[in-house]
Amino acid sequence: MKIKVKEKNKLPLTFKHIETFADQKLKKPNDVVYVLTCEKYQTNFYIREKPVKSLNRLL
Amino acid sequence: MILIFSNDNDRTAIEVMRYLTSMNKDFIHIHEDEVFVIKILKKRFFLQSQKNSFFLDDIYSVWYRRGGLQFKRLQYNNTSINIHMNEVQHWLEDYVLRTLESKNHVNKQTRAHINKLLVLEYAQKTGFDVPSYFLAESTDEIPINQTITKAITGNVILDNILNNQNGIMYTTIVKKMERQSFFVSFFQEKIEKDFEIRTFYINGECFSMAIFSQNDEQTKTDFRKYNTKKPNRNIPYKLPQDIELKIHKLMQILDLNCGSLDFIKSDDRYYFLEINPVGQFANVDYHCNYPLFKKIADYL
Repeated sequence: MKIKVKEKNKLPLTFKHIETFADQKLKKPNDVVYVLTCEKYQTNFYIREKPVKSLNRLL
Repeated sequence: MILIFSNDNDRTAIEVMRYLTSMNKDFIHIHEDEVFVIKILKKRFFLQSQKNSFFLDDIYSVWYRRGGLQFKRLQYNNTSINIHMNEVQHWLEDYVLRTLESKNHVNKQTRAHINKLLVLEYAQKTGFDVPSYFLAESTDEIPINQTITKAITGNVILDNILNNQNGIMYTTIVKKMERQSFFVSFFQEKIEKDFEIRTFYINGECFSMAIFSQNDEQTKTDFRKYNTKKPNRNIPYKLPQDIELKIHKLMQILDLNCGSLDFIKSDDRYYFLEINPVGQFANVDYHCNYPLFKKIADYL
């Protein structure tokens, strides 16, 4: 979806081509928890899924 | 002790931390929202935030991924005292930042954002082929359908520009004349590409990936317009040695020891596009099976 921006001052031409995408942070929370708080890596954004690549390497 | 600066949601930093843990290397992960107070304990610089604290001289390696070290500044009522104390605090902060940057490091906080226009000038001086570019405030002298426009900013995402919607500025082809003038904008000659190349550079080594984005209308002009149903093919790629030497030279000029560079391959020419010192490289690691996370962990 392209958007139209209204500003008093001029904007670069790139603003005519802005495309939008839904903000993950602003989405309504659902029951599935994708990220966890992780003390070991000092983050609250630890991805719950195991990476596929590591599994391939193991196999 | 190793210091890692990153955004909270940065998965790349977590991958490197996995390796550091397996190597039994101690690290402190500093998030973008932490604010530090500089203290002196037993004549040693001590930094403390809501989550972390450390002695400056305990740090032997630093990885500036994203985010950065933020300091709490005290304000004073009397204007002249405030100006003086601002300077006092500035020099203490400057000492901390410069001391950290003098240690073994992967990128620096003060070099994380680079001017795209200057980078293009340096790239030309280094001997790279650079598609001709210029700035303009109207489309009067712009060859239509043969020119692209893109942002000169490092960040092309505008958070929450509409309700619950973010905006993104992709590279786009100028397809029509504009009736009105606009703010100074960046234009560049459109190059018909064979494929795109993303190179991850670290301390003189280049790890490149060819991205076959040219056959898909969606990704043709900007591969970041990902086609999730039919993703672009990405394969490991080896750049010619002279191009890798030029990359090394350019990175030295820019005082960067790590970064992601974009190129277009067209016939027998490699066109330099841009450098992102804190760009994403997890995709290059995954698709090409390069040990990039481990490389960083080894170096720290």
